[in-house]
Amino acid sequence: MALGTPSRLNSIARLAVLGMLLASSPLSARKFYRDDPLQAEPRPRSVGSALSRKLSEYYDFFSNTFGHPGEEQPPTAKIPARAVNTLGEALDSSWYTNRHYANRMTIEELVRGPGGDAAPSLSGPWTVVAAKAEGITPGFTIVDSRGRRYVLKFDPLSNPEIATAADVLVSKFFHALGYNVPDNYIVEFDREQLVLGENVRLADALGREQVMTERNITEILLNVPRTINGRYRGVASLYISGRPLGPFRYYGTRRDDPNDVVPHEHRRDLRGLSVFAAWLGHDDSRSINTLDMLAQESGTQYVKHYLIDFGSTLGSASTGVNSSRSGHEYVFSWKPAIVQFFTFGLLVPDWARAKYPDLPSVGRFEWEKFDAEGWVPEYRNAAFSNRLPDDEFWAAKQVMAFTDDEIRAIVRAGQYSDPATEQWVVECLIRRRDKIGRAFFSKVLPYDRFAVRDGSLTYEDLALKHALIPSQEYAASANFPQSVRWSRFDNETEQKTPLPGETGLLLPQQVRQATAGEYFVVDIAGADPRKTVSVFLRKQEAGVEVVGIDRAW
Amino acid sequence: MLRATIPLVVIFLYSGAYLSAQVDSRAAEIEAARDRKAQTLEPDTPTPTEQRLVYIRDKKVLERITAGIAGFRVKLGGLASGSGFAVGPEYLRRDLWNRRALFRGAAQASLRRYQKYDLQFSVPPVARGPYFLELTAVHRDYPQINYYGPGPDSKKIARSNFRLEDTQSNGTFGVRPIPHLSLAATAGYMLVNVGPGTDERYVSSEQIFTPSEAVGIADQADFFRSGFYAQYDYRDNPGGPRSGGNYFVEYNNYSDRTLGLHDFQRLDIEVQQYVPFFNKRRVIALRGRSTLTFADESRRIPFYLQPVLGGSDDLRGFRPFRFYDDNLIVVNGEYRWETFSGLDMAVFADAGKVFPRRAQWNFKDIEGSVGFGLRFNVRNNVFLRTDVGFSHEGFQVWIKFNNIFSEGPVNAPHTQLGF
Repeated sequence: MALGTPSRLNSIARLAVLGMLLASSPLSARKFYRDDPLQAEPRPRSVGSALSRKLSEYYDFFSNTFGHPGEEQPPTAKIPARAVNTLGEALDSSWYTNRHYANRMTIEELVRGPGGDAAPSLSGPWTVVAAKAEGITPGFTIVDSRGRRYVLKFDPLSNPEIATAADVLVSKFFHALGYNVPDNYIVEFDREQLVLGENVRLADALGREQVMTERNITEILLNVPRTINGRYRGVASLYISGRPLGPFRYYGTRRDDPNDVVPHEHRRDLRGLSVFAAWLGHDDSRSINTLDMLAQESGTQYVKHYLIDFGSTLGSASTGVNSSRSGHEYVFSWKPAIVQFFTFGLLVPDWARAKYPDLPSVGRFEWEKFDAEGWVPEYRNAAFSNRLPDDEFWAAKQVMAFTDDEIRAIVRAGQYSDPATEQWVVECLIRRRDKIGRAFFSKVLPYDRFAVRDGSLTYEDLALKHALIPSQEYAASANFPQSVRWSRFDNETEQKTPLPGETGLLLPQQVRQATAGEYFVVDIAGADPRKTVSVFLRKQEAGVEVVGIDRAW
Repeated sequence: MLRATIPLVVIFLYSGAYLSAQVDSRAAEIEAARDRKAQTLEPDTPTPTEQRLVYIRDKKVLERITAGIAGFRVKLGGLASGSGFAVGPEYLRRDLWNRRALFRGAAQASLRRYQKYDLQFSVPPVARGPYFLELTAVHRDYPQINYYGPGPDSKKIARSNFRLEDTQSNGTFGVRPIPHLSLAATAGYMLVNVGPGTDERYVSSEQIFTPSEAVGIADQADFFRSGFYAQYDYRDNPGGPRSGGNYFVEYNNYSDRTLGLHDFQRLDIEVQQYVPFFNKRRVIALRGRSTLTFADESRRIPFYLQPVLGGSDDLRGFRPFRFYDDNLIVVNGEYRWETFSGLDMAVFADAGKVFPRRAQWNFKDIEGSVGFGLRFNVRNNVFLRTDVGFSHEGFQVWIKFNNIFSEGPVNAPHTQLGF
């Protein structure tokens, strides 16, 4: 059908009408509400009943590899992240809690992680109440003498400490980054520490259950590496309180949760998770390693979302070292497979040339070939694929917030027995952190923490703060603000009315003398005119406050 | 257009504009979204397909199919090359003696009427224990084994076939004194019968080869075999090795207990080396194998116990059992590259020959083949191999459910018998 035919015009007119309707919808009726910027979502509603269901990892793999579940980014008019406030920060919610970047944590708090004081007690025996002899890794469920329940997991014989260290220290990083994670502890124990509970059943490889015996415990432990002292080392993961509901998906929403209103592929905390996963080598960041719990707080029952199982991070594959492909290519994708198929493997991917130290406890984790922008998990993740530069910036600034000393302290919590291993992990995390900063701070104007102080708009240039740009070169750098334009802002129509001649960061007279409730906007552009930050200010009785930030790139 | 738009406007008014009157804060906006969601709550049930997959996983359906019912299961393949599709029942118990012993019995038949019946009792090296024991008994009736005549110069057009029927009882007792190293003594008794081949497309072997050419074709003997082997295996992953090596040497004495004409000794040596590069995403797999036999002047080795070349595991450009003689040497080289995590491709070259005298242990007058193949794997364990081999005798296509190179000595546990 040719352009301009009546049918085509009807379609256009229909779209125009719809567009007008949508433009006047409540979401765009006004840009800012009186309670903006919101820091936390309202208290969750009570969930009446939520289905405890399992998901299939094979379904997840095939549907994401050969299908494209979730709403993808269109070629143009990208869909910005949701579940954010007007400053672009993820809201405190059942998914996420602003922590280290928002309110700097002490090293003690970082190392403590989500708990820190609930390690299984060694004052009495640990009662084995369940066990897993088959599967990827063996393990037990134990109850300590204080009645606390843990999942006890181990390393593969070939690579002592590789999974347990990763599970513990990465959970602490994810906690500091804002996610709900289990409370994990490195434990060392003797065989006598474990006693068998009553009527414990153990399933064999075919799912046939039998009464578990002490011998079963011994046999499972035969596949566990011993420390130099002859003890067993494991990671004890404190049971998360609540009722498990199964994993969440990285797309869509839970249909039985009234609080889950933002498609997961558009959540900033899940889009940005891709950057955190890249930093920590968490290529196993898929649905199966998440958990929804029906939690209860102050009489309200709601769904709380967790990331779990970090044994396959930092170059570990839980059962051994990860493939060097990890993080660089999906397990399967058409293009690289076809290229390799027809080039007889002579076109060697750059990642295949990565060099790894001979450190069995750390696996294939390095920083030289690490590509912060190109990093991918095992297979497509709808939320990760949808991320935009402002999602990346949101995540990168949090990664960059970890100092070298803080990284060292958290890595020490992994209790590597070999100092060289600890040093390598620390170095990798520092170098990968800096690569993340360089990659994602360059895609937007990396200004943040806007505030009005002493009659002036202030901010931090994070690239400058983290020494990604030497201060003596700053004035000549692309980040140096090339233009600052002030406008009056109509919150209802979103019209900007320029304030002529106002090109500095000092608050113009019109702003200072405005009446409460008036809005203004400062458009700041760098050397690249496409990269701008618009900072919205609202005059209050007590002064002027930053109420919103828009980024363009 | 109006007709199309009005319903949309109605929907909009009831969802958006209606709510806009109540929404005056961001928190209220979120609550409004929750209100809308609350009106449409339903159980978050996975799709039927996903539910089935979860059921299959939770109930271990695949494992149960593989494992069978009450120890009984279906066994596929495992007969000689050229047997056609083979299937049969197998009884397997891994839980004997508190899972320290294994018993297996199987009966199989193929489309070409090959038959195999075998029993196995094993006490594998218990966890961190050094000793192992295996007792096996096998009866095979292979009615269409290729035979082209003796020696490296046998002609392709001389293809014939014969029936090999044998019954073997074997015992192996070994020790693993250090990691990777296995030392074992083996012994067995073998009853052999050779008869006319049943493949009517080709002549039966006894019709064109005399007993002097195909020694033992007229009268077969029973053999007592005794020997030992040593194996040093440090491959990183035997199911799909990418680094390390596997070296073994096996020596056996065959004593003719019937005719007293065919006593001989046999020495098998194999060296496998896997040379990884680019972080094991590329591997050069090398294998050298040689079999040498020793017999007095007055003794001759029956053709059905001679080393054999040709087929999916050595000279892949030739038909199965293409060359027979008293000695053998073969080398294989494969360059493998990963196309994606579940598939490696390979280009390969094979070279080898059979030869009557040990003095001919060299690479003169060698046969060669080249080709390419695919190696499908799950969790780095190869489950399917396809190879296309080319030689001056044409090309062969192989679809196999094993690795190209053998796991270990012929008489080691879990190694398939020669034919």
